[in-house]
Amino acid sequence: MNRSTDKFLTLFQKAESSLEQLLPLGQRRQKARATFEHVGFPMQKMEKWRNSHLRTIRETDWVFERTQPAVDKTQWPERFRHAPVFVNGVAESDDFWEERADGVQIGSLRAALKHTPQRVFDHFNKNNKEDLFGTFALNTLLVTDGLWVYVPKGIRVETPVLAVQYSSGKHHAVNHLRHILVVEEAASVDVQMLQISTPDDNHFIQDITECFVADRGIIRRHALQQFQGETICFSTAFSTQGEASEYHSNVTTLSSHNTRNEQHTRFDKPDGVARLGGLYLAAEKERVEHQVFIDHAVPDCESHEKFAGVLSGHAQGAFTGHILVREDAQKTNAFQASNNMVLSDDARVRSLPFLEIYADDVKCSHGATVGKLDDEALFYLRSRGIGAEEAKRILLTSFAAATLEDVEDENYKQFVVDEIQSKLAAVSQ
Amino acid sequence: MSNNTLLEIKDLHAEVEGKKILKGINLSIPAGSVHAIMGPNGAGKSTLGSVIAGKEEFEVTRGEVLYKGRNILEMDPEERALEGVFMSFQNPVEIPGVSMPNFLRTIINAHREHRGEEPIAPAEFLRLMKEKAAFLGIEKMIRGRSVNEGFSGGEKKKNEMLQMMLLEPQFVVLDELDSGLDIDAIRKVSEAVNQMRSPDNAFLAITHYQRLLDYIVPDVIHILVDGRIVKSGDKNLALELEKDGYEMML
Repeated sequence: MNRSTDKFLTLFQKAESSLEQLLPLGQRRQKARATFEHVGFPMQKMEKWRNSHLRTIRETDWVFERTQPAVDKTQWPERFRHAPVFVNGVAESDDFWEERADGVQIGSLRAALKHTPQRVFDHFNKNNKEDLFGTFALNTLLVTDGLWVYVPKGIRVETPVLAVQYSSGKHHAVNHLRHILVVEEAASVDVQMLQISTPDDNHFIQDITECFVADRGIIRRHALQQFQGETICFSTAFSTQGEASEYHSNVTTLSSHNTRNEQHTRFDKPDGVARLGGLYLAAEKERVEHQVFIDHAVPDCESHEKFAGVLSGHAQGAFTGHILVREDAQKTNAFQASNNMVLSDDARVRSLPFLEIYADDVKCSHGATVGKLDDEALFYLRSRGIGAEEAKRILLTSFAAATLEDVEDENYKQFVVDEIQSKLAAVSQ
Repeated sequence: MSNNTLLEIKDLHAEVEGKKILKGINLSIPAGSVHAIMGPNGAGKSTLGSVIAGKEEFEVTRGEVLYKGRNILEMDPEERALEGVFMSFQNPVEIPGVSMPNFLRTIINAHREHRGEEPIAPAEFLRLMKEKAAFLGIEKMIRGRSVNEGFSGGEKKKNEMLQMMLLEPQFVVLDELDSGLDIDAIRKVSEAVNQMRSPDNAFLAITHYQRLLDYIVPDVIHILVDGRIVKSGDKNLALELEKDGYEMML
């Protein structure tokens, strides 16, 4: 039993009735409690948690509070100003619910539980096969709300679904969210989420996105992170994929205090494609970690991982890319790239590919680079009249933007590139 | 120094990693002229080009390079470029992720801003870019490509010429323009240079082989051996070299 586990169990005990009032999960919370007690909160010595910073979590007396501060949108990118907001773990609007004529449902998990409880529980926790680190258990214990998106068979949702996960508060409170994205056969949706906190925030946020991609379905899921203050965020996305399905997941971290992003997918049927990507711009003392786990459980699937980091100051970055190719997963194509620019002497990055291959007819490649800007390229730009600082920004932006190559929504792509450019301009070496 | 001298190199000494390469270069290039530098491998031809362009690895230990009367050795590479110095690189670097149109527009505007002009209008930029690219035969390399990425040797050199034509510099260093090019490409890049020649600009062609100079006919040829100019003469000097080789110069 470790200190963190105790803290969260105690917190749950105090908060259980408030939590159930917000999001009634019945005995599921109690069941999760037993699992969490057994598995425990992750510890630094565990291989997949080596690069995470867990001490603050362990030493803080976390509380649960139901707060609804006024939402300050002045720092928000224009694109997200009118999107539905989850404020400290709960949708701002009590009736955030839309059910369209074609059957598409977009709303909060709380509303979904009222309107379509069976469907919710058909999916809630269903991505959880092996909860090695108690992530699902802890989240189930303390979850208050999340985004619910359901797309029926054959429907292609043309306009991206936008949402904001907003945290603001300085009482060391926890925020637990569960987002569930479901597309039925040959259906598709693009979800874009801004995860943002205020400069005085010190929440511990743990959000899980469960994605269900049915046969020939497509889910594109993007997260843009702008954490300030002392926000700790562990953000995880789990996906299961059907036949000839596509799953795109991309996380761009523009600012962070202590952020851990996990992206998982499992191929349950052949001919699936997964494109997972991430970019972190970490300056000063920021910490960002990316963990990826791709389970090639069946043959003929393709996965692509494209991650990049730009680190300066005393920033710390880490990437772990675990690819599992099971014995029967012949004709697997798996590609992994983790490229990092380290712009200062004190910035650190750890890049760890982890290929577990049990089939014999596979193509698996991984590449990791840690370097600085190409001097020759810099000189070339300067020799054409571009100033030294601008030349650096141009090269860094194009380096960073490479992680967005697979993003289909050109609008979103350009928006993120602009945000990256602004952030890079603000970062001094 | 006459008023008409565009570039004057005075007693230039340069070294790289402690090794002396240029051992006292003196050169005067008037506006309206083409000068060529020829020499054996290791003579310092590329070093001379790099020093004029402003590459930091090369340390100038003595001497001046006066461009329109100003010592450009004290200027950053970008300043030299904005003042009108252009270097066509021997091995242009690839810059993945930086698109050709964005790159070309950025450099054009950098020069315009320096001259106090408005940025180029999008329609005019497209027209200009297409026109010059078509002249050089590289229209395909402009669309959806990153700078020099996947370009053949010839296409890279033509991209150098494209930039030269768009920026209209006053002093151009051509560093081994012909290296790796077939005869058609040599003709084309030479055409680009010759089209640009005017009484107001000047070119310094650094080359190993005489062949380029059949197309870009120089006013003066200088032979650089072991970091010094050992002989200067008119275009016929190239034919002498062809016949007798560099050894005869030593």
